[in-house]
Amino acid sequence: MTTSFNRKEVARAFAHPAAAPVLATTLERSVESAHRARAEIEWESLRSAAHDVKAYAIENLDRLLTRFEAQFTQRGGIVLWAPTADDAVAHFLDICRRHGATSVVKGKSMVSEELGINEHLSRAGIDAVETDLGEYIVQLADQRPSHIVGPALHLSRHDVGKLFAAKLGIEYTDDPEALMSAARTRLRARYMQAQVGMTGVNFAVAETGTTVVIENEGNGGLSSAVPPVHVFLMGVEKVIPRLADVPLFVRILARAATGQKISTYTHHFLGAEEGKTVYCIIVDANRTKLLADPKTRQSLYCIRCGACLNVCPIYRRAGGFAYGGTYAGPIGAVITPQLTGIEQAGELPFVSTLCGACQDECPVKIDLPHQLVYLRHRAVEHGYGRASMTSRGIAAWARAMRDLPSYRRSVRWLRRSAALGRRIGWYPGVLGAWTKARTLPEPPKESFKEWWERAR
Amino acid sequence: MNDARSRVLAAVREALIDLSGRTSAPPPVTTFGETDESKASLAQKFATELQAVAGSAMIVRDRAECAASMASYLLGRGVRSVAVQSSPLAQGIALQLDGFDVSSAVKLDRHELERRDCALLEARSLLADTGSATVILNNTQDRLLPYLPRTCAIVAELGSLHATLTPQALACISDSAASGARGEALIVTGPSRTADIEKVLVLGAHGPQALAVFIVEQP
Amino acid sequence: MAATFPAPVRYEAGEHVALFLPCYCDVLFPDVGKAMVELFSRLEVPLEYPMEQTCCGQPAFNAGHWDEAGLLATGFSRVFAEYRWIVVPSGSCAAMVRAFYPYMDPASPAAAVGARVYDLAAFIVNVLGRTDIGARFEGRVTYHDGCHGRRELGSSEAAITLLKTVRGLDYVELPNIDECCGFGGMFAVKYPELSVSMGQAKCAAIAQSAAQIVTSGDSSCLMHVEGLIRSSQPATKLRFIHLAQILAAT
Repeated sequence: MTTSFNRKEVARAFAHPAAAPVLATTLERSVESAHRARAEIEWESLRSAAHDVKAYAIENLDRLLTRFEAQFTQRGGIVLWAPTADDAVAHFLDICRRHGATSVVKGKSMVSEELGINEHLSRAGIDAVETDLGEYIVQLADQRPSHIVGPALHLSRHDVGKLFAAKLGIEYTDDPEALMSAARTRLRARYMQAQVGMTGVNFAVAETGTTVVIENEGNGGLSSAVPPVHVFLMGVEKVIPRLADVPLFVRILARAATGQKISTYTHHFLGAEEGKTVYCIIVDANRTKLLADPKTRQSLYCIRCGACLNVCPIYRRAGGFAYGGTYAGPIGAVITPQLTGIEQAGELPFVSTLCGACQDECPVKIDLPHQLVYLRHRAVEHGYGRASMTSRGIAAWARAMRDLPSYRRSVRWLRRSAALGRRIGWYPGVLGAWTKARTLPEPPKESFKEWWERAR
Repeated sequence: MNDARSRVLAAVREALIDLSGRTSAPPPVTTFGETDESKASLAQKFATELQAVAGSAMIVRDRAECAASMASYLLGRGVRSVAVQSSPLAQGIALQLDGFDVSSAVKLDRHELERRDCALLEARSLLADTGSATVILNNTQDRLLPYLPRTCAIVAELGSLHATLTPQALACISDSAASGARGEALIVTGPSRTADIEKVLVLGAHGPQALAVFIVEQP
Repeated sequence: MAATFPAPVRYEAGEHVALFLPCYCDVLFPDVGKAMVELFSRLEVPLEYPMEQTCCGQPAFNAGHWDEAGLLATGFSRVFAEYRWIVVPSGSCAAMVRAFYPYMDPASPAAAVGARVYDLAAFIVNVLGRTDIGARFEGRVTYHDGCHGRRELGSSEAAITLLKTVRGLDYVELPNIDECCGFGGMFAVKYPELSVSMGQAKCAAIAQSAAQIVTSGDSSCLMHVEGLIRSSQPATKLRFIHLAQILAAT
């Protein structure tokens, strides 16, 4: 599914600056808006509290999962367990078969994206339509979502207008309201036709088996209420201990994600009412790998608000596709290597200056920059990039730094290389990458050590 | 299926093995408190917040005034047909709504509900700091009400106003969850919206385009 | 075995302080080291320079080569074992030893030594308890806040406080001060397009501030931004000066 950090995509984002600056400005506004919303409340103490609740939930995950299952089942729901992505897909296909479903409506679910469920459904002859406007747009465009919260933010209104004209047969318009209206009309029919509706889950309360879904458009409400069968799809990490913990997260999620005080719809699904069948598919799909390592465990606290994406200087410039998978931005760089494998995604943690802006934004205080640097270590341990120039360079350099005599020899070598480079006007390898757009400082004749020995 | 369950739980337990033997107490619950503002003052705040998210709020004296105010609002929206939630206050107001085609939601199938112009719901509590309304929907038709019709009207008692997401405000949700009631408890804040195209705000996404809350002082 | 010290308390007059000078400063910016010597002399704090020091290991650590980084950390802890106070004119090197030595191995001697290292501004303000250090430096100066110093150590306030007490110095805040300059060590040469783009945003902020001088607690950041500006505007009158050099000036 993914390849290592897609440098072609990065190059492309720069070749077409029209896209990147639009995204960057949009995200800057999101961040400003989020900061304003946060300033209205006791942000620091709330995010600490949220961090602690998530820590407890993750550290007691097995107990809370079984409690959730018991409570959800007691209220008429059916819990299905999926150790792997394939298991989750199989469950969902099985549900569709059992209920004779030929048409499915989907609310926003990053997990379903991760599983590639739409492709499987399509191959099984089941028509699945995304109902979240952003997801609907990228589905029509046959693209992946580029941002956790705004899947189609990489497209201009002009792009969407052209897309709708081509795919929906409407007259071209770039007015967002008219475009929404066109989507609404078509999706109404789909809700009515569908036998199965699927949504993600923001929080699964262990204490009462309540599933909380938070959205603005109403498509989550419709996807869950109209069809006779409703399937929740969630990762194991969505469980929180108590119903009384929900307000805390409601308080911080929208503010972090979009700068709103609260989202339009905060659904608490209580249980299957008469005439309704409700399933919950609980998915592992390598989340237990993140869980198993104490240093990566915190990444499971993520509430998918997208704030780290909005503030990340790399994400703003490279866009979502460069990350090559479902999850982009700092959180994407942290979880993707474990979820899909180091061979495929091992480069992601390296594409960062470790500036830490993401951690400052995170409403649950995940130590993202620490995880990024730790995952670099895991990648190296795994043998990733072992033969690369960088790797060998670092090893050689570390040897050079091991003691003073070796250090002095390296300094002499560096001076000779720098002098040579200056004479011929060309620098090899990494120095070349530097000098393309930046001047190099001229190494002074005397180092500090040499001065100290001479003058002190 | 059992095997899948065992595998997931075993993987989780195995992953947490470094913590085994450690007992941790859950962190204290973070609760948000009421303020000492009067209901009247909270109502003003509620109205301001709801307006900020493109909803509207009307404070009315009694049921009769509520019905009159609502009728006027509905006429302004071109509403002719109304579907009503199966709850006492909503039904009570509905009885006084003259000149509209009013039906209980439970008597309608979903296609008929889809064609209704307006949903009439009852809020069990209101949250002043965000302009939010808490609605409990226990049957399928009621569950469709907040989303299908183009206009959404919500009635609530002044006494149900709270400062924010306090335990008292959310008691209707926690009681429902504890009692094993089915369906959905919804906190709704303004009409449906999206900003998925260039972050431009559009009202009336898949849900209603307009939402009004009628706060009744003497229900 | 490394000496152990009681929990940190206030610096006592006359205690010796070790200078930890980043390896790239030794070779490329020795004036920063000289400024440290001058500054501490004026502050009447005995400063020593353990010659055996080489590098704290940050490049290896950031590259994921923790074995090599660990070896350098051990070497570091041996060189500075006898010192109660260690000061370094770099937020990122300070963060490396204070935050990341314990992150790699909390029980190591390196972690213990790391806890005794302070970046320059934090040392003067929090340890020596001084804000006015009698410096004089004319010019309109803006401060670039290196990310590690800002986020791992929280030392921006100390640096800016010190700058504001410098006589003759007109301090202007850098717009978007919390945005990374794009250096990031190896990142600067592995992903040069991203690095340069981020640096250009920093250059634009500097231009917006109308500063004549750019200072920072990190020579690495300055080297990157200065390199960009001199490449694109060779005639620039902007000067890039490390914080230590400003504070040492009279």
